[in-house]
Amino acid sequence: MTAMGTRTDEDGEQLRRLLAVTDSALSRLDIDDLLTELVSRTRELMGTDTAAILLLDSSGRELVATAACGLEEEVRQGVRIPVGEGFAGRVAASGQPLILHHVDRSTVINQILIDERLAVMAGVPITASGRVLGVLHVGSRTPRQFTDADIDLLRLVGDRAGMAAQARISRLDRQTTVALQRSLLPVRPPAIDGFDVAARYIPGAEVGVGGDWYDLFALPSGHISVVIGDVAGNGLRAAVVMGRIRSALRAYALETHDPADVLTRLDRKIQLFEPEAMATAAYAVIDPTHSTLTVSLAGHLPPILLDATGNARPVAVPPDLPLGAFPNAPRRATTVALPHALLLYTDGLVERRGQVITDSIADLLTTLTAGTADELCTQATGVLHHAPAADDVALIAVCRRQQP
Amino acid sequence: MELTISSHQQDGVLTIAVAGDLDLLTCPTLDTAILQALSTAGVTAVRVDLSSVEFLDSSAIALLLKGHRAAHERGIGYQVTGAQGVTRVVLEVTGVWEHLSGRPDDHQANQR
Repeated sequence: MTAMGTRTDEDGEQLRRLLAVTDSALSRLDIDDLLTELVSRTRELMGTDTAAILLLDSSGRELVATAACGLEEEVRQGVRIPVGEGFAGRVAASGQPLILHHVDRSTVINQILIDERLAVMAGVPITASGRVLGVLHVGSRTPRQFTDADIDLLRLVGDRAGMAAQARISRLDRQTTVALQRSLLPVRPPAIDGFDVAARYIPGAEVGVGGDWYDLFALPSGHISVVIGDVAGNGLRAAVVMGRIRSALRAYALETHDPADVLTRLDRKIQLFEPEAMATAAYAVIDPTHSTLTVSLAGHLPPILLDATGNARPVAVPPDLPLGAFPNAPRRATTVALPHALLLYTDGLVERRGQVITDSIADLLTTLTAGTADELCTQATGVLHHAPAADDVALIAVCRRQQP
Repeated sequence: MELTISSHQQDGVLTIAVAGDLDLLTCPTLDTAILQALSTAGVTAVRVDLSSVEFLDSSAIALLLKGHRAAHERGIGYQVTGAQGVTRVVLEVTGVWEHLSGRPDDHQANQR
């Protein structure tokens, strides 16, 4: 009877613990409040003196105290623990639970834990999708045993915190990336005499905002540069690299008017300073008399030329390798008569599963008719109505204004 | 669609046969396979066989190109083979097929 009673109590306790950390009310909290609530409940459930959550910073090399109960000082001081060092650092490095039976300078590096006179500690990794994002630990000033059930509970809290931490990372990354994109890609490109210009940027359904960019600028010589490009990868990292490549291209455009030369210099810069990066780009230069267009392609789909009646065709330019693909890749430029309008776009506009890319491009050509630059962009993005793009889409249309 | 990768080695040539869709989600698997192949002792050339690949996006092109550069840096041969249909067209339109499908030392032949 007694044994039975104990069993039921244990089950009841387990259930109470489970409910406390999977409580759906938690998901309505802001992420920081959720982590704070989780450490508070953990401390209460386990009867420990402290509970704390440390999350990896963006470098992935240091843990930062993010939420704590009984150890608030740790968060206030923004304690940072290198991965592999101290108690939390070892839990993060191994990805395994760890119990500490003696807290002293040989086992921890955080002075606050010693000042708090903790006797024993237990910690588990916080993971999401198999990746360690941080560490949850509890501590007691009086000696105690941590049971398997205690570790299971910590793991459960760790999973819940992992979900929240991952959501926070992706939200922060996305907000920063969007802010960066907005600052670099003006919705309304600058006005250029004699031309009507419009651009679009549509984040992909699957990957979100990434490294696509467009650019348009007039040079002191009277040449006009039109650029579109796509940095491989997505998220904040791709957007940051995009920002650097975009600036470097502008700088080289001031040095030479040959688009192949500009892309060669840009490629050399990427090979040296961004060895991990790869990008495709189409770079077109309109001459000062507005009679020719010179184009060089780095692994990018050819821009589309339109005549005044709306006949569309891709510019016949042989593509060279993407930027950053291979050292000293030869680059070519082709000059054609400047048509009524041109449209540059990234592959997200025409990349369709189960469809040959040249067929998608042919569909795009038939969709385009004459009109303003804005109308051309609207016609082009019309191809996405039935099949939203998985990848980002960027496009820029440049039309000659009719002579008065 | 799932991605399946199988490798076999003969006379120093390690062939990675890829089947399925190569996109942002499946690329890391091939990335790992190529890097492993390049660091396998005794391998003098790596061949990536795309005969059974049905879709390939821009992230896959970047990956295949990175493999080429990594092989070149280690003095290991590298060749992408078997691309056909949808896959072949996308590699040709973006101008990387000639570079990936062979004769890396012949690169200058492209120059005009």
